[in-house]
Amino acid sequence: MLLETSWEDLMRAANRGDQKAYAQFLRAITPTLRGVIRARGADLGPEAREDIVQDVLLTIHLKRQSWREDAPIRPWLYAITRHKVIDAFRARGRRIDLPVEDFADTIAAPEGPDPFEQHDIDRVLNKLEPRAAQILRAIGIEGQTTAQAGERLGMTEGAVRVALHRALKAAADLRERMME
Amino acid sequence: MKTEDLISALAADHEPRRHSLRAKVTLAILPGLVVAALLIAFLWHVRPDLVEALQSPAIAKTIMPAILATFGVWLVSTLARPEGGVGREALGLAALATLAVALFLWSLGTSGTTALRETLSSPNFVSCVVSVPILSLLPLAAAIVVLRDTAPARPALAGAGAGLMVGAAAAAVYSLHCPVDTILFFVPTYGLAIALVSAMGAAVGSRALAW
Repeated sequence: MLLETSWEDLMRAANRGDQKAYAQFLRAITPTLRGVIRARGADLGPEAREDIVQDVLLTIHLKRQSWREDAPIRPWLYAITRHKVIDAFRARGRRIDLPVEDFADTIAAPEGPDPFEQHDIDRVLNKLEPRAAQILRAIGIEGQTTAQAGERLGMTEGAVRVALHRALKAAADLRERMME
Repeated sequence: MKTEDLISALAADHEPRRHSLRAKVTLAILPGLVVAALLIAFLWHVRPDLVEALQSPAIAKTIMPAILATFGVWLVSTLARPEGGVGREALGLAALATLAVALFLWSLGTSGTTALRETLSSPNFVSCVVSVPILSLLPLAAAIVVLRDTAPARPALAGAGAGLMVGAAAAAVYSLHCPVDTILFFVPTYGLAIALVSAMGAAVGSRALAW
């Protein structure tokens, strides 16, 4: 890509229903999230940090309605990230402050952790009801579309979408409880 | 599950946004307000002289809460954001509150405190202060459900904003029943009723809107 599309434009396209733009937005912000979390939690270890990245992504997803299209997206994004990161650190028995300037100064950290590490989200998957976990795996890990997953599981595409949404909400709730 | 996989799942769950948050909140509370209007019509009864009342200055009893409710929708959509901060909405609210207090003080100056005590010991006072919160229950619940998908910087405050919005709207509906038109009655009674609903919203919001 020669010219980088702004995060606002990606999210506006996403709001019109463009799932590719939405995935692109999430991919674009992830290195920044990693950078902020790494800067503050160097001693946490890469897996724990990546768990926090995933928590933040899940929260951004479930709360994306609260971004107003005519507002700049960074203050919104940083506010959510800050809130979630402070929560996650507190859950690990640490207090941090996270000044907003951190976000501006952070060097994006593109590298993910070892993919073979067990993540908290997998522990969450094991706690979901089997059908929900199956759908989340089929779409996330195996990269199936909602239509393909529906065909394989003998469900309508609409039912898959509803189940997927419930599974993500349940995952967020479970993560919240794991943190308390 | 790798982060990239999670992103795929999140994208698959993404749907187009059909309404702004403001529109969503408004649409959510409307059915509850219609129910409130039906309850007023069939259980509380509409005041017999409604048509004349709406052509007199007493229409302020309906219009002022309705304006407050409109500000409330604005306020709520701002309080629902994680960045925090309220802007022009707060100015509008302050202007409306100042106007109400000024009207009240002026009326108190001309009628005196004895008249105030009398008007506030009438059954109409209790009826209003109890009815408005009851009429607010359904739309308040609907507003909170919508706000659960948002990220308020201060959950209790967002809940209070939702209570203010819904309480004001319910007060506007209740005014179609309420037979007392004096400013001396209207400002403190409606004000207290709306404040009660705000407190309800704050109490619910501090838990239900935390994220």
